[in-house]
Amino acid sequence: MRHAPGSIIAALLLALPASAFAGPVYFHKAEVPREAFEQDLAECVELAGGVNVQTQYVPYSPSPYAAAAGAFLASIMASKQERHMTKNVLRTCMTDKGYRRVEANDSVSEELKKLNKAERAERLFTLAAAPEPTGKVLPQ
Amino acid sequence: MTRLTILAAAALAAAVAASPAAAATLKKVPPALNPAKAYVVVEYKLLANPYSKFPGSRKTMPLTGGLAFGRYDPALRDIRGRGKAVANPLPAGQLPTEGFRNKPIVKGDDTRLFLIEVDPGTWVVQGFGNTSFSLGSYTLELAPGTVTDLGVVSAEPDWAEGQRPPKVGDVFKMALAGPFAKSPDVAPMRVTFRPREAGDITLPAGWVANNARPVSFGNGATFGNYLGGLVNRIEGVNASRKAEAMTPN
Repeated sequence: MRHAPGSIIAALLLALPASAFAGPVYFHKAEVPREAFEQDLAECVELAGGVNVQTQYVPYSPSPYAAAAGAFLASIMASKQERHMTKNVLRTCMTDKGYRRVEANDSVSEELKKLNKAERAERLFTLAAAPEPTGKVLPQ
Repeated sequence: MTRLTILAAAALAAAVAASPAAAATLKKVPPALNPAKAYVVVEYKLLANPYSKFPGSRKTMPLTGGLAFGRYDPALRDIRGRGKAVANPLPAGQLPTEGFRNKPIVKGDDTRLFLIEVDPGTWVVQGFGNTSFSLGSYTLELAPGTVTDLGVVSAEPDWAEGQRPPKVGDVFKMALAGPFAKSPDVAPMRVTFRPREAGDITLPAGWVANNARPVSFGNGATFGNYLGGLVNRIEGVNASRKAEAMTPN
């Protein structure tokens, strides 16, 4: 079974929960051929890879402790913003290609946790191309 | 030390002046058209301020972002010198992207008119503000010695299903929680162009008004995300989906 590395990374990325209290989110398009899915996902992952959030400016402080704390919080905010934008790019791009976002139900979520990377990618491809989505269909 | 700094600054300024710029947003209309260059005129409608009902707030947003134009390779389908078009780079000293510079030549109440001088060739509307129109955009063929009128451009956020701009209360919550606040929804931008009509800013008299021709856009240009922000189709992926859903079968 051959997979493009980018698609495996993307599949694993998509398996990450949307929030601390949500299940993994994947993209679904009924009966999508494997090649088309891999190509669509690879294109969207490439666009998401273009996201580049600059670390925010931290004002000068005479206290090194205050400056360190400010830089730490700024880096947290920058990485949070970058994750947020990356998800937005994937969502917009995959919507454009006709996919819906689906939050996997608990049984699928538990099943995915037990799989290794390659098996999880394979399972996510099966879920993506299933005739009906397994889980809660999220807003497009 | 000061003398060294001045000399270094002068050398840098001379180098910049000597390098052939691909594009420049002009502060004022030059006395004559340069036949080796192409010109683009575009009028911006200012975005409405979503918090305008808040006491003391302005009705429109300041123009902090705008259109970015890129040198496009229609055969390789990417920005020249980048990604799929890496084999077709620009001559040394030329930049593949002309970003937005807030230098209008005419200011209206809620509009601004811009004049951009560019090298002739195939260009693409690469993005607006923080959004790259990588999923599908418009191309422009700009011939030397021509003035192309893009008309009036309006931009707005392209909200996805179930998302909305933060309300005033959300903004206060974010200010209080700082980095621990829930990230607000973000939306890529979408833009629409319409031909110039009565009531819009009149083009400057002289060679600009005499030579200006309405644009003829090409469709479906795709390219990488080189602006570092969000992506969209120029017409808006989400707006198009909503319009399709509302169209009766």
